[in-house]
Amino acid sequence: MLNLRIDPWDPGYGSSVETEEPVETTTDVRLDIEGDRWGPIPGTRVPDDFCCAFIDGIRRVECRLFAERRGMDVPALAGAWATGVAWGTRPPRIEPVQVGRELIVGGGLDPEDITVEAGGLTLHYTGSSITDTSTTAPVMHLQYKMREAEARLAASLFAESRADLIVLDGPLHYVAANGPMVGFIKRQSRVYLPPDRGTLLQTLAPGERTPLFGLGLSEHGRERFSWYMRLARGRDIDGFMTGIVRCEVSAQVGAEAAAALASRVAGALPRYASERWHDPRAPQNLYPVGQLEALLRHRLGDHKLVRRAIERRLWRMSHA
Amino acid sequence: MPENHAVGRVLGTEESTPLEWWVAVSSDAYLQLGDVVHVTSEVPGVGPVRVSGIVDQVTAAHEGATYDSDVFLADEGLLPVQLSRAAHVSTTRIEPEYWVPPTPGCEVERARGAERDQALYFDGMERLLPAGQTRDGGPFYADYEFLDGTRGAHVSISGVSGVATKTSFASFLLYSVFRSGVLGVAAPNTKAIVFNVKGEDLLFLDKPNSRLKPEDRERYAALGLPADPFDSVGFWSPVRRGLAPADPVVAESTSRQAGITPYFWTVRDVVREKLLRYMFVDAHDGNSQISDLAARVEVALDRACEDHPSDPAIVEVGTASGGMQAIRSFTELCKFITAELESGQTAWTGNMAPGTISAFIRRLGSAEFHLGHLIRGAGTTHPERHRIAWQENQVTVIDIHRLHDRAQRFVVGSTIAKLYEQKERSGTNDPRVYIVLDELNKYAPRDGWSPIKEVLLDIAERGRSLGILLIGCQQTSSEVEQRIIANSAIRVVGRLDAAEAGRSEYGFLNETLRKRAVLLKPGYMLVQQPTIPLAIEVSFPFPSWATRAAEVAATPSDDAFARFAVR
Repeated sequence: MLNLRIDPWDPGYGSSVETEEPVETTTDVRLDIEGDRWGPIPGTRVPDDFCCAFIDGIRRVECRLFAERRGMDVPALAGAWATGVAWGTRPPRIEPVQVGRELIVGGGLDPEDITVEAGGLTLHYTGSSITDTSTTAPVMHLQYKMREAEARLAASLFAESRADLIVLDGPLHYVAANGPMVGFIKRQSRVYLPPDRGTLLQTLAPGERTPLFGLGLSEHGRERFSWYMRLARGRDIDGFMTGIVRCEVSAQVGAEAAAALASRVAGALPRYASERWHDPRAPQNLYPVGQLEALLRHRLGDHKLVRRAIERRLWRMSHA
Repeated sequence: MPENHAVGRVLGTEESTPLEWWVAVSSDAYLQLGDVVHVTSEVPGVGPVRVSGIVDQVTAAHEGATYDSDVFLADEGLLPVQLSRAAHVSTTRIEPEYWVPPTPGCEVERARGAERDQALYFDGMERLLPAGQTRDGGPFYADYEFLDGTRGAHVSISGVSGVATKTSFASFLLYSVFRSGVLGVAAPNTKAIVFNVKGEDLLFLDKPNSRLKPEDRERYAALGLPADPFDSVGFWSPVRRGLAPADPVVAESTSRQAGITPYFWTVRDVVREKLLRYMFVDAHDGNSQISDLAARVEVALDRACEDHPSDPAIVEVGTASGGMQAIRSFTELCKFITAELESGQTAWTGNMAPGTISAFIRRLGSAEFHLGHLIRGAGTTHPERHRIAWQENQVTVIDIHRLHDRAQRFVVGSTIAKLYEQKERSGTNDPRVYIVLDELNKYAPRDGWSPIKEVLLDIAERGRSLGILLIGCQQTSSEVEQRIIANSAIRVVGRLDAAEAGRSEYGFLNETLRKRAVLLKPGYMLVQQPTIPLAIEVSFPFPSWATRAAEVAATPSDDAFARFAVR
């Protein structure tokens, strides 16, 4: 019998963890993919009906838990994720949307699924076990579940080939495709370019990109071509990285096709760049993505209501 | 397969209450103002409870849009937003009557057939009077028991001239009363007196309308009415001005050529029926001194005059020399009255101040000038044929549109007063008589007093029991005596002036309906009746009777070329 106990703190505080992504660790960077010339490359103008699909996901820790069995006490959580596609069509639309709910337990303890009654609905939490016993591990696993769902969505979208361009939020860790599927990295936590090449970022105009550079080309399954591009110009007081994003595409597409795709992306995405007053993560948080995230968060249901329902369930379990 | 009338669901972002609630409208349906909807919620311990209501506001908005300019981003395909359409519903009825709100999430349906009848209380009406069509094309009924005096009486119709089509609606209502079958066995005896105040709209009620289109006929059929003209209509027009006493009596000319009877009163009528007071009913004559004096003069005159032995139209009075002198015309009557008043005999003047007497004489002179031709004297043959005989036809149209204001008041006042007197004497409310009177604000203004206002007030307050039923029209009900409006069971509003719509007289209209009233097109009215807690927007069909000479359909006998028609 696995006992679940609650960490009464709101998951937004303290013990909740900043860590989200496995940190990009590769040191294998190749700069000569598009030859030796290193300078800004203007984006390609795309036709008006160029169809962009933006895939994104969000996750939420409903409550942090402790799982107890035979004197063992490991971190666990009940959480939820949602993924969806925002289409840059006229009118723009969002579909499909998928929601998943997870019960994640560390220390190799195997939980059963639990169901929770909230607002007339039955929420089903799928149990999964991880071996790690660190407090951050369950959150990372929830993030993984979400990325996995995004990848599934991306793969099916790619198979449908309805979109001219599929933009996946974050790096292409989990999915690779021989086609126009691009990982879109909003926040630059490390610089891949040596200092003498990196200065190019300062001079990029909106809609321009750097030449491609290879990432992890020697690591099987992780080979990507990447580039930086500028979505929008910042204010004079903004840092020069304002408006810069990094994109990556699977190396499967080949260098030449990757370069053409990169130019199309540089031409297509600036129009989606959000304004400062509209989004706190402007301009990198694109309009469709910002809206998609808001909708996904909404689809998880009211946090307090869900948390209360989980507490009620645990209360009943402990008195069973 | 049953037709699907689902239009949406009760929404949960706004609180639902028993009396008003919101519907989120499905993307494949619509709701408009005036639509009738219903929703059934399961109430614990009670079972299903159906709440019915009328849509009185409809909204559309983008959900997920933060700024006004987001609409442009959405249009350019950049910012996904969700279109939301919602409708606000005011409850009309809850069955069974548990005052609970409809549950959010419950499916809302457009009410049709029996459910619509129930929502609008038609199911509980014993006698249904077709009074137009609602937005959904279904018939709208007035509860006839609130029209004929059984449970209520009188109709008040307000609206801007020209656009509000008040007269058209009043005549449609009348047509419906006579032709819908609602009268049953009372049909032959029920009468209507219609004053034609403006234009010649009502002078062709008995002629088919040549401009009636097939779709108009369908609308009549949908209401269960034939698309015919009125039958049994008597037309009365004032006697022509400027006729010499010996001239044959002819009516004031109108574009209606035949079938109009000229009407007038005789000198003897004025004396015996005490009609003098109705000549003193200007807005400025609200002076009670003058009215008192008029009443006193009427009594003195009645006493002083003898019927003329050979001429039924005139009277005679005793002279100082002991003989009898005939008063052969209205002019002579006025002279006689003036002479008596100026002689200072207290039998005539009482203790009236000289100023009042001279004011009276001045007004008498004005009356003589403006309506003297309506009072005929010596030599008039068959005066009885020219007395308005409202019993003879189902509808009696009395044309006053070309008369001077003072003469109009005289005709309306003396006709209605006479009717009231007759009905009061008979003491029964059968047969019912409808009076259709436009410009009610002129005859029963909010301020001041006049003998006509007094009669109209009596009708408003007691007409129900006497079987006199008023269909009054006015531009602005704020200018009409409050008690008349208050006594009207059925209130109708056509296009209103924006300032007028805000007045308390229209308190029965909610905020949306007031705004709606400012935009109403001709042919659309808001109708409030006691059994339905909300005013309902209805449209009524194009008249199936002619409203001017050009609309008169050529009948074979009228058409000189009919004989030559190709067979």
